[in-house]
Amino acid sequence: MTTLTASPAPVAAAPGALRRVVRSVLRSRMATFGFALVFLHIALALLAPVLTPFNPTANDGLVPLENPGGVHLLGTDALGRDILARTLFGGQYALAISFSATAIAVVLGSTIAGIAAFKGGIVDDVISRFLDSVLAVPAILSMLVIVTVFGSGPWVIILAVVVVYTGGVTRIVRAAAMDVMPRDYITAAKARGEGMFSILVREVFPNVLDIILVEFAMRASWVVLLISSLSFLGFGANPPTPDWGLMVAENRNLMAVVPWATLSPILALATLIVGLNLAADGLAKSFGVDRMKEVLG
Amino acid sequence: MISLFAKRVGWSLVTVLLSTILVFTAIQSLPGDAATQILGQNATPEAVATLRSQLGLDEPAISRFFSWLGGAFTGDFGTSLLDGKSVGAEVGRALLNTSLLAAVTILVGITLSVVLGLLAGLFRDKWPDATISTLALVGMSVPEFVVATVLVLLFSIYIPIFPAVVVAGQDASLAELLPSIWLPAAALVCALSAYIIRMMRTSVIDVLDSDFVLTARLKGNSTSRLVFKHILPSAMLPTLNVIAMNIAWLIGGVVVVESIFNYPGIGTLMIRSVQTRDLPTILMITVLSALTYVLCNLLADLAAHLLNPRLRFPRSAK
Amino acid sequence: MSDATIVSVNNLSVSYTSGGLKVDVLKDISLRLERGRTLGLVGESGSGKSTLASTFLGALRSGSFISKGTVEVAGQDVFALPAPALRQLRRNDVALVPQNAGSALTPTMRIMDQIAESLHTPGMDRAAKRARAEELLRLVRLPNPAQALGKYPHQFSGGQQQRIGIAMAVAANPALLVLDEPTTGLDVVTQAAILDVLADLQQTLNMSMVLVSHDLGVIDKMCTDIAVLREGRIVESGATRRVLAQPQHPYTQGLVYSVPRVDVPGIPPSMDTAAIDAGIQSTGEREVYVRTAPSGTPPVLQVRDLSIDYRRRPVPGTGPTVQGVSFDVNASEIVALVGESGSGKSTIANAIAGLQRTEAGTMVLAGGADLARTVSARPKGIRQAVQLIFQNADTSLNPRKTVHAAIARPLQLFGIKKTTVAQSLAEVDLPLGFAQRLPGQLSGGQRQRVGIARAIAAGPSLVLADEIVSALDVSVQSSILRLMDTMSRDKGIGFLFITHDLAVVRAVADRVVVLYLGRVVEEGTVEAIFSETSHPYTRLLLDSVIELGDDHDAKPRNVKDEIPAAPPEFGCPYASRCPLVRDVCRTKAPPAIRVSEGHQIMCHADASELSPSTLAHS
Repeated sequence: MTTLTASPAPVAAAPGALRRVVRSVLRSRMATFGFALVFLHIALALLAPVLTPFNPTANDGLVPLENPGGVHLLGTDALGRDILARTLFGGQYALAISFSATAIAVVLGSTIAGIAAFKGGIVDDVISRFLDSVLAVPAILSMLVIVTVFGSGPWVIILAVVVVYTGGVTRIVRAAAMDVMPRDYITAAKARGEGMFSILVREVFPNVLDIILVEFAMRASWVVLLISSLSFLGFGANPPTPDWGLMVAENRNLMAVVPWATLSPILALATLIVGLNLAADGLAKSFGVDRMKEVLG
Repeated sequence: MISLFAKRVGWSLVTVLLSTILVFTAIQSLPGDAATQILGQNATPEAVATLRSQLGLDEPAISRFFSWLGGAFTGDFGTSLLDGKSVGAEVGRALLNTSLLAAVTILVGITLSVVLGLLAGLFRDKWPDATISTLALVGMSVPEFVVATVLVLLFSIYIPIFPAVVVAGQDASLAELLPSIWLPAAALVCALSAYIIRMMRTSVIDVLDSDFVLTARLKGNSTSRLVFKHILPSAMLPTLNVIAMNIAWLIGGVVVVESIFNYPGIGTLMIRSVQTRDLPTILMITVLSALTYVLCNLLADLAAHLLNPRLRFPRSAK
Repeated sequence: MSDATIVSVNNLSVSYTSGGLKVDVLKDISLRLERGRTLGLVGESGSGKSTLASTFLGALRSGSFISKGTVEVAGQDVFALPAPALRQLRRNDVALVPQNAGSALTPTMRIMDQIAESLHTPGMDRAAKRARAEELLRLVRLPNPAQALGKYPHQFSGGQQQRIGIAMAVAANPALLVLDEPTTGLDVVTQAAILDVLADLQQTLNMSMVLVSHDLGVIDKMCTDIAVLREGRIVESGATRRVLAQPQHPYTQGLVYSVPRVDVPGIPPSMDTAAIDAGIQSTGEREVYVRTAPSGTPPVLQVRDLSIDYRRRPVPGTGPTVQGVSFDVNASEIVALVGESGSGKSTIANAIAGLQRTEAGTMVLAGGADLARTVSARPKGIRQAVQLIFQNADTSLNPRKTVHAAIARPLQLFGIKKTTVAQSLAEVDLPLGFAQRLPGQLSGGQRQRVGIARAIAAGPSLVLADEIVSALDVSVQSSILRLMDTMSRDKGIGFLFITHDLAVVRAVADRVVVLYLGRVVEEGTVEAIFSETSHPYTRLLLDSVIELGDDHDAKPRNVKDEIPAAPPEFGCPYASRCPLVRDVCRTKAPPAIRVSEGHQIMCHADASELSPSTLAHS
């Protein structure tokens, strides 16, 4: 009776699992705090146009280097741009780029990992060898080269992140998938004669989803770090884009004059990354995943 | 075991070669090259063509790669497209400076993080663990450029005991460099330690939960014997890989930190050569970085072999 | 507490807190053990027997605490001792042999150093310690003790690791030795050998022992006293022989009756937990269900001269993993494929399932369908006809998918319209409501039922059942065996039942194929296999079985339990261990001796030599 299989049985399990994870995350104060930080950052970024009347890239020669107080809540930089506006819109830029880049890297990496783990043998060897070569080039050098080749638009940054991080994701997810491969339910599926993609989608991925999610949260924190470092070095966002790394680079020599111009992007960066890290820890704990094994990418 | 290592070394060399090819190919697709870069926007096409043939840029990419490769094997990494100096000498000097910084960082960083990680694991969920874990979390979450900026603010501006930037140039002697490496090294230690501390903590906790530690405890062993004989060797094993990886990652941090402190090392050179598209210099830096990566991994494997009898005496050799 | 008492537990309760609630692991336990005697702690998983044993060493799992009572060992209240005194107690008076020595030995330390840690006699130099360690390893009959001292734990087999664990535990001449399932997971022959060592050690060293086991046979053989635990309480205790021969408590009765026996055919009764909870005494005797073998049914599987080779290239002196294996499985029949670990029984099952490439030979289904190719190249009809049930119900179901999804998948894949998930669940006696559950919400026995339902739903003619009851408590084993019996009769399915457990074979199988190192050594009906005439290896297996109520002292002792790592290139695989070995055994493959209709033994000896008296292995 094939109609029965169309019933929502597999989906019915999902809300239960989700509820369990949410409950377990909420039980941990640190994890709750982490998720709160991340959601706060997302909310602030989305509401940036509402929260500040200022244009983050508009110069105002009349009010350069103002300290907090008055109309400009956090003061202005050397070009008279509003620091609060730049920090809020900087969040938009950081979150949009890092989340989408991480998502692409994680999806791509997981797919390659699934294939490598399933096929094994030569396919696995070739994939591993190639990824190892990509990983052997320092991330920063790869990104510098890619940015120099293609320019420094947001899409190029995303491409660079995908190039640099897909290999790491693949390694982790491959190891997790290899762990699942010898289980009897995979053997049962193989003995039924299921194809590779059917086995990956039905049997393997649901069982490594926890690892993939933790991986996402952790990679996202690294990507935020890397993108801001790149901007700091002058290879990321082009001025006058409101980017946190760029803001630190522009204002750190003026620390004695307008400390908030440097401090506010630093605080924004640090809170976002702490939030992502705590969220990753919380997820890892509630899934029972060993997060340090995750790092070995 | 020797043949196993020979195989690993062979694969490592393949990895290095592949990485070099990847970077070479990427740079090849640059619009414009060193010739236009040197001569600028207003140069006549004739001038560009002349410089191009002088620099050997008019040959096909593949033959240039192989001639470069041939030279590289004999230790000749070509001449810089910018100033015509020998790349080998220039990169070598930068490497020496960076090695000094890296050596201090690695020595301090690894010792510190292994000890802290061990303490955190042994005192799981007590105050030493809470303190150390929080520190590690902060270390994971703050970018190197922020740490460096804050360190400069604290120790060069408010309490001026260390120089904020290195004034000495490329050819600075050890004595000239030494006073200025402490702040960059401190910034790098922060970046290096966080993950090693966490890994060490996790693996100590894992080992503490194992049957063999329980058995050793039930044999009435003293705490110090438990820690050093039964726990530490097994706990170090998974940590080795994280150490190797973090040393390889250090290169990324080095670029940022050197650029902040204007430290005359590989990082500063890397940025300059990417900006000027100085292919021979970039390639040599790639080779060196990839070598560092594979060397770290090989050393981790070697150390694992020394620590893990399962690898030294495979089961089949009964 | 008198000097003659080594352990005294008084009103002990152990608890842990979960979600703000106090959960009791042990409830109001009191017991006493006199010096020189052996106490058996019996119970099913979750009964608290291991927790109780670990309290004798002053150890509790983290998070657990003593909520009431005391534990006194050698006159000392162990949970009141300060740390140094407790360490002293563990060094001198009480030692533990943990369940799995493989994980209980420190992997990074040499055997010598691990044993030396337990030698605390002052003034002992390294040479003296070395001599003593070697003597200890000789005492536990480890081969090559001098060499073994310099090796690491992973270089030994499971049985050898267990011997080392025992040597380490008795190194300090403890007054009390606590053994937590010391032979679980070992093959029967190894188990018999290790228990022999323990019995001898107790004599020589004059120790008291506490033995934790789920195996009533082992307890019966080793222990003078017994305490039966259920859900953290002692339900019955006393002298072992008396308690096991005339159990008084309904739970003990259920436990004793549900154990299958090598010498009694038939499936034992399932334990009726509801009746036990109600305190209803079981009436009368142990009622077994004896299955009738089908007769004249056509074969559903014919295997001829099957060879499988794991080796990349031939290794001199060794042969292929599996060689020349032939047998049939008929419709409605349960054929047991028996052997110890490494006998190649699972390899053969994988080959039939198409998960393992074969070297030579044929495997043919009813109707002539060829199984030569691996699963990806087999047509749908063949994949449907051969189904698998797995040993470990924990990993046989995808933890993220509901029971419904697990059973519906084969129905959908093979386009089966006439069976529904509801019917399949009903066939394995599971309520319909279970369809929406995840595997994690089921007990081990229930999960195994779902695994059976998934296999049967596909409508197979042949089911490969790999150790399907080994991981289950005895109280649920019977019901799973009954299910297999029903399925084979009602649906005409042939079962290839892979197992190491001879008692279970006797209970359910119609015919038996005995494997040793990937070669068939004996084949016949279940009565023939358990008759007086056997292959020397089958005899060894039968003699090694330790059963409730046996005359344990009459059994052969000190058997050789070391299986070679690989089968020999030529001759009989058993030649290296056989008491009847002659020259020809090492050169020529043994011929089949036809003992009776459907009973053949591969052996160079005469049929008359293959009787229990000539095959005593001592």
